[in-house]
Amino acid sequence: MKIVIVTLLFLFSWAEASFSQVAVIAHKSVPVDEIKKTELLDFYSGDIKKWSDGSNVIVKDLKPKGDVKRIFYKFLGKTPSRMKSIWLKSMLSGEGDPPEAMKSEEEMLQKIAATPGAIGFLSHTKVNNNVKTLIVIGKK
Amino acid sequence: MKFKNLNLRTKQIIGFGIILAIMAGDHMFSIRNMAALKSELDEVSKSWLPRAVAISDININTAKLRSNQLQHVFATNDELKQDQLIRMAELITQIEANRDTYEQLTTQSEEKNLYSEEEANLYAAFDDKLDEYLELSFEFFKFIRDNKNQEAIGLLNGSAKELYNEFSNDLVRLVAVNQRDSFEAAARAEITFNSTYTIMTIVFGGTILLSIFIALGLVRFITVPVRQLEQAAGEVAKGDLEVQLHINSKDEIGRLARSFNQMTISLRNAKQKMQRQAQTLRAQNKQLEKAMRELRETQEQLLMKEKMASLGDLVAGVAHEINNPIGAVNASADVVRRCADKIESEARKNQQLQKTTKILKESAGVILTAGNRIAAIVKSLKNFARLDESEYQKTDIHEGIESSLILMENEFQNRISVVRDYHDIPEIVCYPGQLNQVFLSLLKNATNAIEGSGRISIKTTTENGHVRVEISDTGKGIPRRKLGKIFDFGFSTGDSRVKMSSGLSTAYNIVQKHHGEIKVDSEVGKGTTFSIVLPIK
Repeated sequence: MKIVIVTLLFLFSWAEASFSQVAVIAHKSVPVDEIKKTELLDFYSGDIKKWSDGSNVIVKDLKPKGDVKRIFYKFLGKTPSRMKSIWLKSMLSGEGDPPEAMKSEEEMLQKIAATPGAIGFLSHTKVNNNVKTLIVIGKK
Repeated sequence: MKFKNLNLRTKQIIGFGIILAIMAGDHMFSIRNMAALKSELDEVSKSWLPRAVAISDININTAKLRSNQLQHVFATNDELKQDQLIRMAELITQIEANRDTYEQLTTQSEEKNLYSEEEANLYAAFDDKLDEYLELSFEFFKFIRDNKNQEAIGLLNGSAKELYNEFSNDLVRLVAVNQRDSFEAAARAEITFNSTYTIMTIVFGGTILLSIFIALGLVRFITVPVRQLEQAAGEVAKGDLEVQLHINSKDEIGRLARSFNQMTISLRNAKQKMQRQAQTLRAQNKQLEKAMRELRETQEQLLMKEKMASLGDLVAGVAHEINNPIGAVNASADVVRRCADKIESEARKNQQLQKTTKILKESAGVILTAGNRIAAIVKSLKNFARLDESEYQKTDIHEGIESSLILMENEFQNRISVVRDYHDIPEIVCYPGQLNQVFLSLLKNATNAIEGSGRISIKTTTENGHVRVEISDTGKGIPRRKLGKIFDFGFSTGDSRVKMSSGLSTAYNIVQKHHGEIKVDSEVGKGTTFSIVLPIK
C-alpha cells in the first residue's frame, strides 16, 4: 500500500514538474544570466539588496496560491509564511517594505519586463523575450 | 543419531547449550523490547513534549503579537511605538525559533513514521493562516505608517481577528493532538512494558522449568548410570558375581557398563572353573583316602594271613614231630601194658610184685590214655588247619565245628557247656581251613562274652540251597549302637569282649569270599547270636 502511494506521489510530482516548471526571471538589465538557490534566498530574504553592478534588487512575490508559488517556495526551502515573517521583521525594523505581490503571472511578466533590477517567478511556459530567465525550477 | 548414543561431553554441551541459548534468547528479547520501550518514551520526552511546548509558545507569542499590534494602534508616544516595534520583531523571532524547533522535531518524527497526518494537516492549515495574517500585518503597518489608524483598527478587528482566532484554534488543537499522541505513546509504552514483563515472567518460569528438565535429563543420563555402576561394583566386591548392568547407552558409561558386565562374566566363569576343580580334587582325595584305607586293610589281612600261614606251618611241624614220639609212646605203653599182664600172671604169688605190676599197668593205661589224647589233639590241629588239604573242596561243616570246639576245650573247662543242635546238612564246597577260622573266631568271641559260667549253643540247618550255622552265647551282649561296627577292622569294645581285633573282620571277609552272609543279633545282658549262611555249591 505504502509503495503504491509513494509511486503515485512520485508519478504525480513528475507529471506536475513536467507541466508546471517554474522559471525565475529578471529584468533584462540585470548583470547575471543565471542564479543559484542561495543567491535567490539572499535576494528574497533581503540580505542582499543590490546586484553586482550596484543597482537595486527589486523582488516580486506572487499572490495567488498555486503550483507555481508552491514550487518556487519549495525551491527556496521556506514556506510563504516564513518568508513573510522575515519581511515583517525587516518592515518593523525599518529596513524596507515586503516585496510587492503580483496579482497574476501576467502582471509578474509585465512588471519584471518594465522594472530594471526586478526579479520574480512564473510558469516557464509563460516566459517571453522581454525578460531574462535565470533558472528553471523542476525537471523537464 | 540418538541422543543416548552421544558422548557424555556432547550430552553436557548440548544440555548446557540449550539452557544458554534460551537464556540468551530471553535476554535478546528483553533487550529488544526495552529498546522499543525506550524509543517510545524517548519520542514522548524528546519530541512530543518539546513540540507541545513549542506550539504553546507559538500560541502565546502570536497572542502577544496581536495584543502588541492592538496597543500599537493606540500608542501616542513615538518612543513607545518604537519599543513596541522592536518587541514585535522579537516576538516574530521567537515564533520563528519555535517553528524551527517544531519543524525539526516533526522531520525526525516523520522519519520514524510517528508524525500523524492529522497533526501535519493542522500545522499546514496554521501555516497557511499565519501567512495570510502576516500579509494582513503588512497592510496594517502600512496603514499605521500612513496614519490611517481607523483602517488599521478595522483590519485588526476584522479579517485579522478572524484569522487569528482560526489559527489560534488550530494551535490549541495541535497541542491537544500532541497531548493525545503523547498519551497514546505512553499507553503503547505501558502495553509494551506490560507485555514484555508478562512474557519475560512466563519465559523465565519456562526457562527454569526447562533447565530443571534438562538438568534432570543430564542426571538421568550421567548420574543414575554411574550410581548403578557404583552399586554393582559394590555388590561384586561383596562377592555377588551375578550382577548384570542394563545400561544401553553408547557413551562412555555405556561402554564402561559393558566392560563391567564382561568382567563379571569372566569372574563368574573363573569362579565356576575353580569350584569344579575343587570338587574334582575333593572327589579324588576321597578316592585316595578310600584306596589308602583298602590298602591298609589289605595289608593287615595279608599280615594276618601270613601269621596264620606260619602258624599253620608251625602246627603242621609240631603235629608231625609230636605224632612220631606219640606213636612210639603209645606203642611202648601197649607193650608195657602187655608186659605187665604177662608179669602179673607170672607173679601171682609175689604180692609185692603184684602191687608193682598193678602200678605198672595203671601207669601204662595213663600213658596210653594221655597218648591217645595227644594224638586226638594233634589230629584236631591238623584238621583245623587243614594243613594237608587247603584246596577248595567238599567239606563236612560239623567236622570243622568240632575241630574248633576241641581247640577251645581248654578255655571252656567247666564253666561253659556246649549244646549241639546239629541237623542233617550236606557237605558244602569251601575252603575248610578258612571256615574253621571263622568258627574259631566266633567261639572265642562267645567265650569272651561269657563272664563266669554260661552256655554256647550251636545250631546247623539247611534252607533253600544254603546251610545256616547259628552260634549263640549267654554272654553280656553288644550294645545296639556298636552292632553296625562289629565287623569293622580293628573293632574293640574297650574291654575283654573282643580281644581278637581282626577276628570278626577276617570272619566277615571269609564269609563274603564264600558268597555267604554273616549277621549278628544281640541283646545286652542276654547274649549274642551270630548267623552264617553259606551256599551249598
